[in-house]
Amino acid sequence: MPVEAPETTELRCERCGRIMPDGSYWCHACGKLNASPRVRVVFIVFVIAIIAGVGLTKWYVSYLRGLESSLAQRWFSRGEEAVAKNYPAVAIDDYHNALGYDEGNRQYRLKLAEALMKEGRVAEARSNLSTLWSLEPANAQVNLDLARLYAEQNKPEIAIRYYRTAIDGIWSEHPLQHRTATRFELVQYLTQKGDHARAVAELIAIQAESPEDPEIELKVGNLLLQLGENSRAAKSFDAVLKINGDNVDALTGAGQTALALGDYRKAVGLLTVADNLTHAKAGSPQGELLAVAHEALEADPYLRNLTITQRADRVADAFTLSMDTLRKCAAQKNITLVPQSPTAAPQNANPALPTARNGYTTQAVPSAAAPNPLQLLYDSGLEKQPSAKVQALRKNPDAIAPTMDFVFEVLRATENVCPLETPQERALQLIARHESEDQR
Amino acid sequence: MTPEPTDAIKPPASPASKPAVSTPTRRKYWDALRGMLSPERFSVREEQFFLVVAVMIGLASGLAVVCFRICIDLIRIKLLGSGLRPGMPRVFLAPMLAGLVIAFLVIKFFPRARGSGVNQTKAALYIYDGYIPFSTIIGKFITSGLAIGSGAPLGPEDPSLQIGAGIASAVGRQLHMSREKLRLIAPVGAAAGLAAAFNAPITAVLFVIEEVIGRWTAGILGAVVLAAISSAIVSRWFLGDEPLFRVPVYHLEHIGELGAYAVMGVVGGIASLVFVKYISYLRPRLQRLPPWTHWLQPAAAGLIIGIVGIRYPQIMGAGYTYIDQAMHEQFTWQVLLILGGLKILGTGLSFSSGTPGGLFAPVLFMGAMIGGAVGMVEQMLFPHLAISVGAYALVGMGTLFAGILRAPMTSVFMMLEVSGNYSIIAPVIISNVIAYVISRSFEPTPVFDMLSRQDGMDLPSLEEEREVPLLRVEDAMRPAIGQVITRGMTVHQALERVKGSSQEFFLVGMGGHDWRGVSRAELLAMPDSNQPLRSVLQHHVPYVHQDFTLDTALRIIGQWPLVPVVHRANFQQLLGVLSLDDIVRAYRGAGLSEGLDQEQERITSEASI
Repeated sequence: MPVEAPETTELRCERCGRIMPDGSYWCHACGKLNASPRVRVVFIVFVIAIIAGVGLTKWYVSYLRGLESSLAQRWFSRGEEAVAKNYPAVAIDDYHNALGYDEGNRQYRLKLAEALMKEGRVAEARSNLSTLWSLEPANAQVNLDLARLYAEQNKPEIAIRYYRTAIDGIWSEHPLQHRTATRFELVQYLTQKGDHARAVAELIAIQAESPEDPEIELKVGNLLLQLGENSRAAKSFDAVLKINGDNVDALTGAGQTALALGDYRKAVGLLTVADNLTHAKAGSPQGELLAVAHEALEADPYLRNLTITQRADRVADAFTLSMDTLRKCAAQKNITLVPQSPTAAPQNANPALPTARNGYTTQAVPSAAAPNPLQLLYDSGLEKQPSAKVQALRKNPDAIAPTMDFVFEVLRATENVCPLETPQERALQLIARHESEDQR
Repeated sequence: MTPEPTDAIKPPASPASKPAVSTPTRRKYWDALRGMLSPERFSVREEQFFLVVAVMIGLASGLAVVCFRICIDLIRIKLLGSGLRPGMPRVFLAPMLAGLVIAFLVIKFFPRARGSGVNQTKAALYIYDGYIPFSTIIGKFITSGLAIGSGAPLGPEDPSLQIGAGIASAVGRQLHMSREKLRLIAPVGAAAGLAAAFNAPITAVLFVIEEVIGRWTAGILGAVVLAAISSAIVSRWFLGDEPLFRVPVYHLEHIGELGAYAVMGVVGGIASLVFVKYISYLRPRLQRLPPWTHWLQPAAAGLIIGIVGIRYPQIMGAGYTYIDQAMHEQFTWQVLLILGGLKILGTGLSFSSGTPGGLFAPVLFMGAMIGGAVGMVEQMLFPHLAISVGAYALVGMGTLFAGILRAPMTSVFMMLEVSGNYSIIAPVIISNVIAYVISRSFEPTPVFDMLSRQDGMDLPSLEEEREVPLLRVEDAMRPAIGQVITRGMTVHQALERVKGSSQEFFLVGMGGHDWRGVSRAELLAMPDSNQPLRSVLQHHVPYVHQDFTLDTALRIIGQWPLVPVVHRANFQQLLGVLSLDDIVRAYRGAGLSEGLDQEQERITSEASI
């Protein structure tokens, strides 16, 4: 019986013919891949599995992204509702949730930052805004929010820097309107901080940016008026009135400007038109201003073409009114004004006393022993009373100026303590301001 | 011999055929193409094929990890609701019920899915020849996804690492790779899985080298890098290339800040130590409890986490969203400190209870919270330093990573990769080194080594390799007294010299790189003559330099009884000689065997606990 050779299972390399390691398809001698069909199939299956895996993963990812997107939108809507109902704390959680599903959404983050600011969580708001800023340094809304945040934190230089970047930044829609609104906000902030020069500069910039817009011109005029830039304000109001002569606000503003500039006649004219246009409603601002203008026109002793008698009459009336104002203010503050001998209270003995023509010193605090400034003024008034009568003033016109100085001092002293209520008082106050500006 | 016809069937020339591309020409092109594509031409070596497979493993791991992360997100939405703050009944019911399911699955079906995944991958590499059962991948995917999605304070990175390693192992087995390649392919997949999970390929490569492979090896570096990059590309393609955190801009503005970061290092070192000690205390004690409790431990841990989560939901899950918030100063320092502390407790509890999940993300969470808290406190104490809380949170992450996982290199590069800011490197290094030194001083065993020893395994560790002193030739060599013969001697002179010496082997410097050797017996056997010695010496002796490691010297010395130790700039300048006995003596003298014995005893005692 022939002996059959045992069947060998060893694999030999197709290239070099050497025996390959058991279970391996690699020839260690020559490095040839003697892959059996099985290995090739495995490799192909692996490649196909990866391709199929890509498709499956893509579907799976898009499913999750869709779910996340809808959840983010839902949380964001809830946040918006909460903000609308003025529940910023609730909105913060909702926006956080929305951001959890859409981390890169800048709108969500901006809203979150704004809600955090409303809630007073400044550090978190700043952090979110800084993140947005680092992504979009020119985003105007982000810069504006940062400006508001630093303004609240009382860091004016940084706030102003961000305001300026917001003004020059990119607005997604209505850039001119947003830019102007931001400038107005900056003007308001600068005014609060007492930086009138920069505020005026911004207002001029607004005028330059929107030359034909009466609404903006009117707003600029009012702000200029508020800042004491009367001439510029007058030009703004005039510009509006050129477009629409019946604009009540412009007429009122122009009237106010005329009052501030001492042109009482023009003020009366403008305010009369405004008052008529508003049908002379009682208690309307136009009516009140008109009354003041009328009083100023009738009380101003410095108007040209007045006779000596008329001037003396006006000064004597002003003196009487000032003494009445002094008494009324003292009564309001529970101060009893008692006439004292001139030796007991020499004029200018106290540093708090007003000094003629040199303005009024309000900083100095009277010592405990010193009499009240109102009392000193009252004593001074009593002393001046004889020379402030009509006849005396007619005889001695040189006494007009010191008498009016006294009147103005009384008004300056009392206006900080007691509000000036009557049109006469307010008219005299206007005359005093105008006169002091002229002297300056 | 007549040549055989090459074209047996030639088509007849047809006048109707197009002159531009005739059929014979087409046939010629076709044959050329077939020749180019013939398998014979593609004789790639296994190393080259291994690189191709590494890329494919990277792609497959990337896809698996993307699916894993999406799975976690979906489970979270379904179980805990869509809000970041889970609703009241869900917050403690979901982790508890998920804990019950996880315990059932792990005990009944996937016992190897327990733990973080790093040690298991390392065990596959060193104990099981790269074998990771496919069921482990499935189990890890399901149980870890369920645990993290339901709020267990663990991370998805280590499970991703194991999933990647499992895919690589399965592919390697199916492709019948050699045992050596099969063993090495698991770390390739591990790097791919981690790179996809953390979106940071450099960090993944370094972590796998430091923590999984446990030693620097150039053999698979290329494959590991390729796999990590390809999986990171897949991850970025599907999940976007947004980094995990929005890292705030950082500039070192005052040199005093470095001192402040040193304080961060001290605090981070103490926190690391607390966490490692806590796990090393709690885990073996929970494991020693009666077996029936193992069914309930994950659920109990989940219940506790849920109760804490009612007030502090931030500690639930991986917590990347909150890391981001901490980096952007959205918590007070008190809250940050509480969150850091609760995460230490929660992660330790959850991990020790056997809930599958990783330590990577929780460590980063703890670091960000503690770092942020330290930054805020220092901001209040030293307002002139312009301290950035975000930078502290970032440095804190690296600090705790270095302190707990003891992967200092990975932690530094991770911070650079995550932040993309090289200004942060000085603070990171200062803080990491301090935390690392503090942690290592009070707990010499790194956390992963400690866990593997608790499981009765002893796996190599780069951290411990650093501890072993490296012996060099200079530690073993001795002066060459009476063992050198000058090359100018004759045979006679040499014989006279040898007769007066007790040595058995002699070295002769022949000039240049050439050193030769001769034994006493050989010399004595030579006929006495005035022939120059150099003409009769045949044996070239290898030489070593004094900075060679003894391991290298051992390979060089081979069968030679003695080799010269020569100067690197002058090869004929003999610094000493080295023999096999000298090497053995040096190893004994260094007390390594005693140290190893002690280490062995310690491992045995830990395993018995």
